[in-house]
Amino acid sequence: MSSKSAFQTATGDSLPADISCRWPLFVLLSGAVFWLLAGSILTLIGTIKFHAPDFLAEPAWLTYGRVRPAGLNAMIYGFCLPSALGLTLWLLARLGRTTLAGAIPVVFGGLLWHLGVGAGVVGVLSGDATGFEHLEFPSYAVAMIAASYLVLGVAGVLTFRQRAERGLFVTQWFLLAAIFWFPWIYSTATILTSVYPVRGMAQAVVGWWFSANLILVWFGLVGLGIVFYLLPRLLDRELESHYLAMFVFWMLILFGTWTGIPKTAPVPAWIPMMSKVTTVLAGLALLGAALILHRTLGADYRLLSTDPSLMFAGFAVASFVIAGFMGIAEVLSGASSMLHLSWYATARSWLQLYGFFAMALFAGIYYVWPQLTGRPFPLPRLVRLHFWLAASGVMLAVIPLAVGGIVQDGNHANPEMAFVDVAKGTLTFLRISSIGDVLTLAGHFLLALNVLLAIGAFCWDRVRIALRTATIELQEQGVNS
Amino acid sequence: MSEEISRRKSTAAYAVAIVGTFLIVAALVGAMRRYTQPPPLDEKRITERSKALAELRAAETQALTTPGWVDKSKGIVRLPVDLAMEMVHRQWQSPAMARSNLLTRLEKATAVPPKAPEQPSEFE
Amino acid sequence: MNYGPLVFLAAFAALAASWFGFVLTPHLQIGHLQQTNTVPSGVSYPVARSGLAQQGLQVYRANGCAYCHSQQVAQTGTLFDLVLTNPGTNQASTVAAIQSINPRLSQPEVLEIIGKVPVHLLTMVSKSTAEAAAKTVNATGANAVPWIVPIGPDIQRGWGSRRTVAEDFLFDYPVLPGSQRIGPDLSNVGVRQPDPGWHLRHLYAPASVVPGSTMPPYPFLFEKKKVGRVPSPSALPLSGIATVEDGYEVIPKPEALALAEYLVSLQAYAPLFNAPLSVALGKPTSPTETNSISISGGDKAPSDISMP
Repeated sequence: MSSKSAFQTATGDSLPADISCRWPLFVLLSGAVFWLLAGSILTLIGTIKFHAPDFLAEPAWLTYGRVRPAGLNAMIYGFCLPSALGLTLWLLARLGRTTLAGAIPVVFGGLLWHLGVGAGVVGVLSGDATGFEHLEFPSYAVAMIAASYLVLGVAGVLTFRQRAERGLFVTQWFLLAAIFWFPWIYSTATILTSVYPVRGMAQAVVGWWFSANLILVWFGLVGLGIVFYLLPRLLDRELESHYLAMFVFWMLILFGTWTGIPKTAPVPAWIPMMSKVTTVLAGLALLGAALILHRTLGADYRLLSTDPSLMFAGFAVASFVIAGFMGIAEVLSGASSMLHLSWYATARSWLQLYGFFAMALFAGIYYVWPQLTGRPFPLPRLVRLHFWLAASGVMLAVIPLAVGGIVQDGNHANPEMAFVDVAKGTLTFLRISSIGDVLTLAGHFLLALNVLLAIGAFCWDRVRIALRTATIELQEQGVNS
Repeated sequence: MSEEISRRKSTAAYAVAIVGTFLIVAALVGAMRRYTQPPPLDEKRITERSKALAELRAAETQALTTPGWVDKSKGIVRLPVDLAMEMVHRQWQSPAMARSNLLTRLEKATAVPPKAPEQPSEFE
Repeated sequence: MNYGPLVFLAAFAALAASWFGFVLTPHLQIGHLQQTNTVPSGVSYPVARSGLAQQGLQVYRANGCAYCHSQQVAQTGTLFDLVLTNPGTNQASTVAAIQSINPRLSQPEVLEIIGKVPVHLLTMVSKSTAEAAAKTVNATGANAVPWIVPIGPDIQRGWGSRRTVAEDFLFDYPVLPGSQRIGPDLSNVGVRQPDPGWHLRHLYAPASVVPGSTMPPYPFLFEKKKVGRVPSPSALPLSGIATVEDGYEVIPKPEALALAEYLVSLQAYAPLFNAPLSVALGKPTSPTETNSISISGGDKAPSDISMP
């Protein structure tokens, strides 16, 4: 392991930023890991239904149309957002050479967030889903999440404001924009789909707009922000280059925001057309990200293996680029192609959501956590094992699904082929991809184990120190008397 | 100490401002809704139906509150109840007058029952 | 240097731009749609779904049907048929004209078909071909009109007769256009399967009505109970692989009835100005009648079963 390893940079003395972030991040991240497990178990239940349609058919709350959105929302709102926000707070404190503003409110905000996600997942399973993709949580859960976000977001901006280091690193651009971005898109989408819904297909357009802004832009901003911090940190060199990173930032917010409307959407044709053009233009952000990784590594990709966080980060950037190009291929495919309604689209969004964003978050969690506790993870070997499980899991899930989607699309374009046969033709690919789901789930257990043991060890340390101090005091008192 | 208080105050003000910027797009959505909300889809039907209801109500009110002819040839009128009571009251101020043509009036007001059928129905 | 405000303004400007483009403008355009008229019959379209079907939409939402079923028929283009509506009086020259535009027809064939107008003289040709041919035929005093025929794999599959448009969802909340085709498209499932009883049996045991179906069953929408003194009139007539043990019957719950009603109400084929297609006037329209494309595939099932 290199001398720059996260485990070794984490010394006994944590910085003020780390100490102030400790409990807020414990709450945000451990809750996130819980939802990661819950989400992947729910997703797996959904996948098994493709092996046996009768599996768990009886209970209404485990039907495919409920476990699938519940699992996905647990992943997005339960794992991705709170861990992204936790890492954002830590990065803003660390990069600003200051402490986290409002650590105690953030602890309660984090608790409220996870409570809200719990309400949302139960709501979706009980049939309260709103019906809009990525916005399924019913209004009672959304209210809790939104209230919690106000606390976390304000803490983030206040931390940014009180920074001692005035110069901005590029990561701060990404994260600051992301902090404002989320409430803007979330409030718009929630109000216009659930509170005062607009009429007819306008609801769906707002929903698609939100999805693209969350999955491409927001995930892109936070995920790349984390990676652009970790790469130079762990490699001990400059990011190549800041200007390129700024370019990625601008392309992402200028063009990424206009993507996401499927081409067969029953809306006036200018909307999908606009979306098609911007999807291609947002490809510039992909090229930029790929170039940054390549140049920062100096074309020596073996460097990535020096640290598990780097492995996660490198995988994340690669996934971001590939998922983006899969999206471009999807919008540019022929008029009769229905790739966007096939498993190919699922593969692409999973690569973006998990291959890119979750992997970037894993990189961040594995880097940050030891600094919070001041000691390495109790089972460091499992970190690398987690990477290999996650990486092979993503590939085993994404590649068969993408290939299956292309096969499905080809069969689908042939009207002579009965639809039942088109559907059956995808089953083999689906079944292979569930092996990938099992592998990623196994990886999640490793992460959960490490986090659980780390918290346990941290608390035990505290107790031991307190006991020792008390003993010494008692002894001193004994000596004195 | 006062420095500390003023710092806290400015932080609080700043926090409020941040919440405001978080909700700025929500305010935009509110404005959009307020100024561009389309009329309901069934607006035409709503106006038609409320117009019909208003007409019906007006006709009913007219019938209930004003006297008028129902069938002039048979001498049948409709009378609001209080007007009828008042008329009866006025008529019986002089009981003799009221009693004098009582039977004629009664006969006039009583409809002649239809003739009984000659042959009972087979169902009876 | 403090770039904080710059980052804030950049983010706000970028988001505001896309907000105006993809939130406000669609709201002003699609969100302000009203009922419209079909072309050419002028019937109001769409009409609100029945109360039971609206409840069914909520069952569809709650159980996430849209995660497997899209409601967006794609159309890759438009072609034209040439339809003879009136053979005119000058039979010889009409026959000659028809043969000149469609040389594959022999003279007796032409004589036979002009007896039973309206008849498709040309199918699936370009607009210019159809118009030129119409001119040729009409010069003889006959009357032939080009018909608009939407095309695409979905339409050939029988999933609809035209692309789905925003009007089809005008009265729905929430709109559920779906994002996957794990199952078939449902925009016009009410046309393919107009019988609610078929939908109930399909929901209870999909493979019993669509052999090889990959759809999971929805037993929780039904109640299985002992037969009382008299068998319930609303019990499902089950057969094949979906039978229950003797002495039991399967009664659809209200949710199932509502969902079936909603599925039957999914009929989006009205010819509209922005999604044109030609239909025979004076006849009830349905996709099978409005064009001459053969319908195959889909989740077709034996049509001889019906609810008592």
